[in-house]
Amino acid sequence: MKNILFYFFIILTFSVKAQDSYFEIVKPRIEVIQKEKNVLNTDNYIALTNDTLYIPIKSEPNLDFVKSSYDRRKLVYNYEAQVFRLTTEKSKTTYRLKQWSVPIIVYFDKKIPKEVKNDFIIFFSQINDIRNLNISFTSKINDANYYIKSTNETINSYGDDNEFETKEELLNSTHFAGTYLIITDETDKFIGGVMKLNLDDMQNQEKLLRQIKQLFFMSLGNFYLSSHYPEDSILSKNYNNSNDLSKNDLDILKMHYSIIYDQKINGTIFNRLQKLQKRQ
Amino acid sequence: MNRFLTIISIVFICNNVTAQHKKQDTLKRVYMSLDSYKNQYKKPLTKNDSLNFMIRGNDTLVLVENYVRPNGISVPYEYKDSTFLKYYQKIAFRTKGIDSIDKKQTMRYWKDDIKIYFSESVSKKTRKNLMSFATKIANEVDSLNISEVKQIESSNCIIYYFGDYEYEPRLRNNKKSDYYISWNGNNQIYRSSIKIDTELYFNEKLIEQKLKELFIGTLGHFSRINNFGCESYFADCYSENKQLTPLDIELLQYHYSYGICKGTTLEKFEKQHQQAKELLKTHNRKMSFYHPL
Repeated sequence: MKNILFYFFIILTFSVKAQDSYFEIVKPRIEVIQKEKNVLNTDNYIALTNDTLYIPIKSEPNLDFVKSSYDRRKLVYNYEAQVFRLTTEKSKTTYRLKQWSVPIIVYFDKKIPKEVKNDFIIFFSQINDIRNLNISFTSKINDANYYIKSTNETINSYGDDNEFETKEELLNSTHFAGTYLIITDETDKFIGGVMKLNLDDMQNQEKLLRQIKQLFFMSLGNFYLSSHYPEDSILSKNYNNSNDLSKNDLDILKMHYSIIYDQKINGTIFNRLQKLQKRQ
Repeated sequence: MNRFLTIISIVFICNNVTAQHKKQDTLKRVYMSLDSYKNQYKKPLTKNDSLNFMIRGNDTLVLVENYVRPNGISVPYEYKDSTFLKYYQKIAFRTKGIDSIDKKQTMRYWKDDIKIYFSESVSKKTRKNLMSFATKIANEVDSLNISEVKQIESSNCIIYYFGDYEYEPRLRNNKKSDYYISWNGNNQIYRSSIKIDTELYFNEKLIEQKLKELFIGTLGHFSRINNFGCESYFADCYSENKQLTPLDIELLQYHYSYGICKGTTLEKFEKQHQQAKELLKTHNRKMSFYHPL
């Protein structure tokens, strides 16, 4: 009987340990506060001369957005493919989640045609109600953290050895004559960016608008273009430059910005969050 | 390197390399632990030595005859709690959690005043804001002096942009904004360069934020860690509200405090703390750290 109780206790101990909390998976950060009573409830604090630092007691976030139920299976699969390229920390190359941790304030170079700029602003006003993602526009470069500018540089991210059958296809592609650079902190958060466009190499305004829409959307999470998506998806290689953002694109963004994570997130950590959600 | 000495209080000599060229003075009745004595003098103990043994705790101390101590200053041990030290070690010794590597990591610091030269590309506003930030740090940290100089020859810290004259050849191939520091055998930093990519950091605000972040790094070859809230300059994440938090200031003050030896490995740093804390606990006495000039 004693043995049974002993093994029961061991199993119980391990099963309790296996029940991760969100903050065991994504470590919280220490904040600086003046002494107050909830500091007394934790051992994890540092006493300074005039302040006390402690790990704040936060409520666990709702993780419903990672749920891969029957109706969401395709969405979650697409999301994991977009963000982690379906890799885990054991993969040869690991892709991690990248997101903006600050409101995005866009400044347009004066050389970008007004019509294109206005259509762009109208298009992205559709995503104004996404939690944790805020996009606005400014006419002062000093207030911006995202600069869409023209350049004389030749931009061809595909290189000379590309898969395009005709020059027309190459000129019409998203990574020709346009690219973006992002300022990233050490936790994979985006904090600033520059989109460079060679207007001389741009076929027409229609292409320019499609290109800046796609490049900008990609830069919201280091997303990539796929030939498997329907043409109304902004992440499709055959994007039809629709005036509306597709539901799938919107859902991917909503998932992506449900939480601004305190730490780096790879596919393995995301899977742990999914398992945790199932137990919630 | 260090000799465990007893005079009136217990004194840890932090560094005696430079003392040979300085004016010297003599102290009376200096004791050294038996092991340190053997290592230092490499001669057999005499009967006279044995007669003068002093027992303190678990140590046998030997009287050092005619000990000549170099000019310097003696600073009492500065106590810090273990949680503070845990984070300080991650930042200043750049520990990664691999004990065999971490123990050999050294802390690095400026002994000389920092004299900043800005290249001509750096705007007046950015210079002013960075100097105001640097002055705030210097005002908070006793042994750190920072000023701006107009002549590059007078400087030991250069701030410049991509496309400027290449002041630091070892940053030539860097594609990202970064800093480069040089230090001597005592882990004293004597030169630093900070280079910013202004194509990516395209306005004054972004440039200044990056400059401040890199400048803090040059003050001690610090690591940024994932434990602190993003407002801290020692956090590895960005915040629009970056500021010198009370913790940041205390970490910098401690880095430049002489209440412990400077430029040591993590292993020695931990050992000195352990001995100083033991002495404090068992004899209620503060160890002092002697820093030759």
